[in-house]
Amino acid sequence: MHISEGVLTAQVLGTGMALTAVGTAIGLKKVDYDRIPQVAILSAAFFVASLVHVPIGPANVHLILNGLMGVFLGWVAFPAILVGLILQALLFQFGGLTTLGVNTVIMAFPAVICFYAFRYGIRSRKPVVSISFSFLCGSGGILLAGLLLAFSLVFAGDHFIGVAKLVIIAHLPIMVIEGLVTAFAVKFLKRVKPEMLEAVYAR
Amino acid sequence: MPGRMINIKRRKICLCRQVKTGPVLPIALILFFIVVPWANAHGIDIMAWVEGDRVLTESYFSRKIKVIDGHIKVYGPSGEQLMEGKTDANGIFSFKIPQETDLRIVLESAMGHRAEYVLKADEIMGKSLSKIRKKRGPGFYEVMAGIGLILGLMGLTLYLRNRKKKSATSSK
Repeated sequence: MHISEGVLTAQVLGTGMALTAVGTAIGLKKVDYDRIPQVAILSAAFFVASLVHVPIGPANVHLILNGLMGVFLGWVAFPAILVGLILQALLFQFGGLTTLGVNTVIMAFPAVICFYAFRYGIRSRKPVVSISFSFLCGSGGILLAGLLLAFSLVFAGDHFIGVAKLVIIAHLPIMVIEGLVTAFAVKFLKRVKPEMLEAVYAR
Repeated sequence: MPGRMINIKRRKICLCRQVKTGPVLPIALILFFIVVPWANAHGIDIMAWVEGDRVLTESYFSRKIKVIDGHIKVYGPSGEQLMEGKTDANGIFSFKIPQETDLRIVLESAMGHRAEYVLKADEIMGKSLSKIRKKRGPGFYEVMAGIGLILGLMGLTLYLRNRKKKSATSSK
């Protein structure tokens, strides 16, 4: 999902940077200082997850974990993903510094959308509801990111449907894996540390 | 004075308690060590390539320090020793190609450092170009640097916050 340098038009890059600035500002405003360590851990997990390649399916793709970040961070996913992406660009040469804005929007915006779309379901007391909503949140993050990726490439002259199909089919195994990861993470934290989930929704 | 000391102590304890990471940290650590392949820790390396009818080897410690007087042994595919020699002041040891098979070139230096390089028969026969070994994706150091920077950022944020809190309480 990392768009490299020199693919996109200047307008798309600029829009991406502006949206990232807004999202990061909202995220930083909402973050509670007591949750900084949690944000840092999730940011580190996001940073490392890109190294976990899943060799199933037509393309070699890697984990993203943006749905998971959405569940636990909400808007704060923006600064957390931005930090992870900066380090991935600098240390791994994934993506690039000019595409930082666009890439952040592609991965963090779905996290926020999933957070608002599924939060009530995830907090449900019924385990079946909670787990299935967590799964949807984890895989939905990837699906939306794929759609956003295809959308941003439209301005570079690509066909939306074609690119979207390609990206989403390549990421089908990732969607399943991240759905499961998110469901397990929510289930585990609900049992061990339920206040951590509640803290996200307190604001 | 003693009363003041107690106050400071109490405040310190409070600060420690404010930060809770819960079970996330150990889980992240375990995941991390499963995921990240272990780094090459001996810090000595050897490279070999073919030039004409000779094999050239270059030996160096981590980064650019040449291995001088390093002991090099060359083995054939079945493990028999074909050649022996020492690296020169530039870390170079070269020898005439003994046979057109895979060659295992082993470097041993003082203090138990050891590294080896396998030169494939294809390369020796010129079927495939000797390639400079390319870096395959990010390594241990890059991953550690990234995680360290993220945790450092966390520390900085918490430090600034605590300092702000301290100055707010002392101005009261």
